[in-house]
Amino acid sequence: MNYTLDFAPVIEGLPNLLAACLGTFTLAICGMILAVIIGIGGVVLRQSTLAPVRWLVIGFVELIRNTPFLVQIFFIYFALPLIGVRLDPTPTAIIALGINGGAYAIEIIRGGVQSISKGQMEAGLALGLHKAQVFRLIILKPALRAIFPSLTSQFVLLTLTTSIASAISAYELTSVSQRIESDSFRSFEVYFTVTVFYLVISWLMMRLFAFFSARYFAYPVK
Amino acid sequence: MNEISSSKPEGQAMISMAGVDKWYGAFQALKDINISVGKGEKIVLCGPSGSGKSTLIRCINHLETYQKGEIRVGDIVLGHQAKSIDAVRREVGMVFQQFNLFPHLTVLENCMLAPMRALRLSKVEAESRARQLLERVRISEQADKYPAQLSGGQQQRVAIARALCMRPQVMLFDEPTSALDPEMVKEVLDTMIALAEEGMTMICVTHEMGFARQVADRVIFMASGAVVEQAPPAEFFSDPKHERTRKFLGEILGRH
Amino acid sequence: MGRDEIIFLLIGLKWTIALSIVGFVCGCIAGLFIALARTSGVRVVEGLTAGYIAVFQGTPLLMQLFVVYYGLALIGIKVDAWLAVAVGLTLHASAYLGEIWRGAIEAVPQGQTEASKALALSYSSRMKDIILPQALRISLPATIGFLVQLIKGTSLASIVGFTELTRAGNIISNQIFQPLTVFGIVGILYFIMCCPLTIYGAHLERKFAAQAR
Repeated sequence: MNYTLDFAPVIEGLPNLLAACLGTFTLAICGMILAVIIGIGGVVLRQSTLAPVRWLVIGFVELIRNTPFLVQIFFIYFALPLIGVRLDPTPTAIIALGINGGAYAIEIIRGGVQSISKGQMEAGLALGLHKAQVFRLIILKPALRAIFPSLTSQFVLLTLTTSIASAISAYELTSVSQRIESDSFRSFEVYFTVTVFYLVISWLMMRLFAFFSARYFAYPVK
Repeated sequence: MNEISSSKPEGQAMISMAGVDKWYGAFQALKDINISVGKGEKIVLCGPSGSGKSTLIRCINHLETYQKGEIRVGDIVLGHQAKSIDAVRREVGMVFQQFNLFPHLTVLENCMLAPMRALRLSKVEAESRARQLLERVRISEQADKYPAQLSGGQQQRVAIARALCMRPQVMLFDEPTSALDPEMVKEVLDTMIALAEEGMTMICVTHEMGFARQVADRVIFMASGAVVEQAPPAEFFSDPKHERTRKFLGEILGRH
Repeated sequence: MGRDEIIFLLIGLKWTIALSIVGFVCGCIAGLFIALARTSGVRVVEGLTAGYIAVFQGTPLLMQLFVVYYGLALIGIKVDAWLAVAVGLTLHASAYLGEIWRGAIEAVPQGQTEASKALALSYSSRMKDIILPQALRISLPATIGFLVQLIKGTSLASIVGFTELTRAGNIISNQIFQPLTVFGIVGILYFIMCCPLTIYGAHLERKFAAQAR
């Protein structure tokens, strides 16, 4: 079989692909923000004194962690209109990414909170702070610092997961590349190039996290 | 602590515990504790490990709950509801064995946090108060460092300053020198002695018997969750009444 | 949803299980070599395997499947979707497992290597008898965690056009217009496969942590 590689359609589609990279970034960043919010909220609820609330959080985490994201995004895509929420594919994908990442974030953040010694909580309480203040002002930052490496790899994974949002035609790199592929039939060239793009994107994400970490967690520890 | 008058130990009761019982499941950690601490009085609480002395002072600011009896701090009856717990914690400072400084905040920020968040002081007020108290524990030059950059003795002095920033009526010390290297014990004890001389009401769980002799108005000896004996230090050390006290003193002072 | 639809889903489930097993078993074999190469002490080999791992961990599985699918066709190997996906999952798994096991090999105390060398054990005996048994034990929770990830990853074969569980669900959902029921059942089937593994992995992790104390 004689096949000559032809990257012309890829070069032609480059502006579209680069723009789609921004779409991927948007999905990833918005998904992460939502995931952190769900993660912190989930950890607070996970420590509730009401047993059913705790079970609900545990059930949510296990349900999400033990089913594929593709099935989750389909389910959410079809479920949202039924509860009266009509959204475009891209916001739908952000919600799905946030829910998926949030379940992992709950477990990671919980591990971080548990790694903070009990004395920190007691010192805060003894100073007259409320439990919520102690969590927000004293526990949260050292806990985030302790879990930052695992949070980073989870969020790089979330960034790569955005490609699955192409299944509901959200605006991001994979769906744009599929369009170029079906127009040009240069499948290998398109997907090879896009794979390189993803490599750069995940590298940039890691740099971003390293930069953030150096800025916000720069306090010394023993 | 200018606003705290150095009244006599026999003055009005600052802390009173009446018939306090505490259980961990089937294990009784505190048995019928009845203690009254006058304003400006200095108490040293000692006893073998597991005797309940830490549990006792942790009940005073409700880090531990108790099942029976009554605890009063000043005019406040410490109930189990949030309002009285908050009120008590604002009046009672605590220093821990493991310092428990907040690692992500500088020394100054450690001292400013609670006055700003629990007492709603302005940043300017909180900072001037913090600097003044750091000065008093002679560590003001370290104000912008993080806890991990300080020695254990320095950290504990910061912890004392942090508690004082709330202008408490009472200070509780939970084995403040037990986690320190020997050469750092003195700087912390000196800080505590200075505080005592200014008239602070103090309850100290400690094995530093030299400190007890020098500072305490009364030494309370506990064993198995109960108060066994209490006396002024001169009497306590020279003429202990109970066998358990004698045995404990023998072990801790190296007499045989 | 009738009997026929259920049977169609179960056939899809069978292929999901088959893909998972093939991907995991082949991935384990290839991953072992990756891990050994990554810890070989030969700089060029270590660098190459580090790059291999970085590429697979830095790109989406979906893209890896696309590139393998069209790449195999390009070099003249006519394959059906099933084989292309199996190859793609194997490569993907080999990189992740290689990295997990590299960490585990490095977590075995240095003294074990030194003692084996002092006893004049050969490289293969040192690895086979001393280091790997300890490393595999250390890595067991993470390995099981990855197996769960791989089972979920097989769902992407549906996008390449292979009819496993998720694609079966897609097809039925388009026929009977009950997407929530269908994807709910599909989700439950995945959950039944993955959850016992997750629980077992967490159990092992706790057990090992307790023993380490």
